[in-house]
Amino acid sequence: VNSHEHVLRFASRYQCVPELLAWLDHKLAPACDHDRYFDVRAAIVEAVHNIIRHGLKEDPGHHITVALRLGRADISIDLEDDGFPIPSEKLEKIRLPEFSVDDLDKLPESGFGLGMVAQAVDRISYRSSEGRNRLSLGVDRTVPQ
Amino acid sequence: VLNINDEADGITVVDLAEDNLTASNAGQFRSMLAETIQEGRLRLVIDLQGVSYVDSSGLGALVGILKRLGAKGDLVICAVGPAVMSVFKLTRMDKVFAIETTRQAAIERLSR
Repeated sequence: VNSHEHVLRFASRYQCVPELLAWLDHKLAPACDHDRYFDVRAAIVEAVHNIIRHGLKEDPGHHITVALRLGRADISIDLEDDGFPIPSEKLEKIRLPEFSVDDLDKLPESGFGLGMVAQAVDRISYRSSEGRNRLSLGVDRTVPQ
Repeated sequence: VLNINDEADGITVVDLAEDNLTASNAGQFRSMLAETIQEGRLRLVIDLQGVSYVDSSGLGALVGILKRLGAKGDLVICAVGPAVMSVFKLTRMDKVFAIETTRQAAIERLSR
């Protein structure tokens, strides 16, 4: 791991998310535009909560690894876990629910998760193999470093 | 999870006692606020001061409260920090919710 690569491994518990956020504030925030950072941070929080809730069924006996690579032109973020993979039908249609802001009764109360993650980043990919899942997020740097 | 305070003009201000509104507490948040609405408090301010992260479960709980209030009530959210505002904007929910910068501004909006 060189100075542009950072890895955090933490227990699969909601209570560990503040540790992740402090780490992101320290490692990722300086590499992002201010507003973009909060979008990417929100995407990572969402992805981690999805892993804990859906992939690991809130079993605290696992670990999640987040790896950051700060490149000159882009940033890559890999999240790895050993839980149930994201179902293929969800991966095939990653998008935010459609709604009219004026139609209160039909506002969606769920289904934002992966769509929100995808909305926050420039690239998203997913791989599940031999019991390990990897969600990869890519973010372009507006001013190459 | 919540501190609930009745103000003048039938306005109720709800503070989150935790720094997040997520899958870990959204269910409890939703049920406590549903009870609050059931008791007849229909003009709500939800103060997110001190809330540093929200996920889609927390957002869904807020949408659920807005729908439960429906046309018979009003909801204003205030003190939304940049991390939480990102979630609203990414999902276009910033166009759905009434959002004010401060608690006082939220109360004044409901008092009009």
